[in-house]
Amino acid sequence: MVRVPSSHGGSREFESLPAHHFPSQASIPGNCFQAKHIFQRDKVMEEIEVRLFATLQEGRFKKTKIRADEVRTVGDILDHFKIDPEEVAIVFVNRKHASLDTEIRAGDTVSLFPKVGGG
Amino acid sequence: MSSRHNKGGQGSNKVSALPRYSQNLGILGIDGQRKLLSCKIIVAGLGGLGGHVLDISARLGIGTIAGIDHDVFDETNLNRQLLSDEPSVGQPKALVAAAHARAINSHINFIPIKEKLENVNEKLFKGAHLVFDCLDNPSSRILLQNIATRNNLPLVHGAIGGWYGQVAVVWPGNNVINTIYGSMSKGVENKLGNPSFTPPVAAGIMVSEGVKVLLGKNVGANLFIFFDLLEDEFNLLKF
Repeated sequence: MVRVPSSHGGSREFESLPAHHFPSQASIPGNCFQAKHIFQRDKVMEEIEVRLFATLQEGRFKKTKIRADEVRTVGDILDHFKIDPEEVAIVFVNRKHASLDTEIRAGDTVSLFPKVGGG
Repeated sequence: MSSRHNKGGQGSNKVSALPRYSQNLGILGIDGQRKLLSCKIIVAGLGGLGGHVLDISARLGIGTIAGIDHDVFDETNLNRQLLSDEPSVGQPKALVAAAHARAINSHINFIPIKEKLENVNEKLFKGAHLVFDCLDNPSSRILLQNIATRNNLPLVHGAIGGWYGQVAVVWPGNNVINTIYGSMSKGVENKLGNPSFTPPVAAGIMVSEGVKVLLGKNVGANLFIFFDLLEDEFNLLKF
């Protein structure tokens, strides 16, 4: 368990983050433990989580992260991952209904669903 | 029709004495059961989803149920549609549904409508409390949402395809159905088909959400639920 002091006086847990979020210790000036984790927190907040559902996962992924400075809207995420907009029927950003034009920011979670229409 | 409506009303006065509802009372209470017996719902589509929604709603004791479907059963329905069986192939779904509802709960009033949705007299929706979208094509789904909006009715939407299903609770003023089905692209069911186990899961969720609307446990909260039976995932999003 890694706890990182936050600006609110509490702490954040990073236990579940994948290894690629953590820079090698050699890359951190002075190899200072405290400095390392402040750096990690900033890096996490620069990312957007992308979740794909059902058939959208085929040949792609279930969940991944993308740097926030690489995309501005949900539509940019589709371009980035080469997802045809026709494949996507429903978009949620942070559990709120959204569209391809919705602007996204660091820390957001974008969920994409295919069209399901059978009755 | 009014005398048949009163039949539900008589049942509601004797609800505590009816063994058929005894297993409902733990979650509904007598007041909740009476409330459901006084409610009217519209079930649009009586196929895979609608057959189960009708069955569950009738057993639950929702007092008046109008079921709309212009179609007849065919052999491709037999793998999943509760109301279909071999003798019913070629029979109108609305009429088979009426016999099914009457056989399982003669205390409620079922109104069979053997018409396409666009030909249904909108007066049917007057006095209703909730609409279930169990349809299978985008244009009808959008039409139903528009009718529900015009009549200020909450809508419980359901859709299935393969291992996947979705349920949405849509309150008047929200146009999520238009957003989902506005494009011409095909749904996953065109490739994956519809197995037997997905419709009852979706229908069960639909009616449980509908009951919460009818009982006032959900007032105004738009919900979207997506389930993945392959990965055993259940996702709830509010919008």
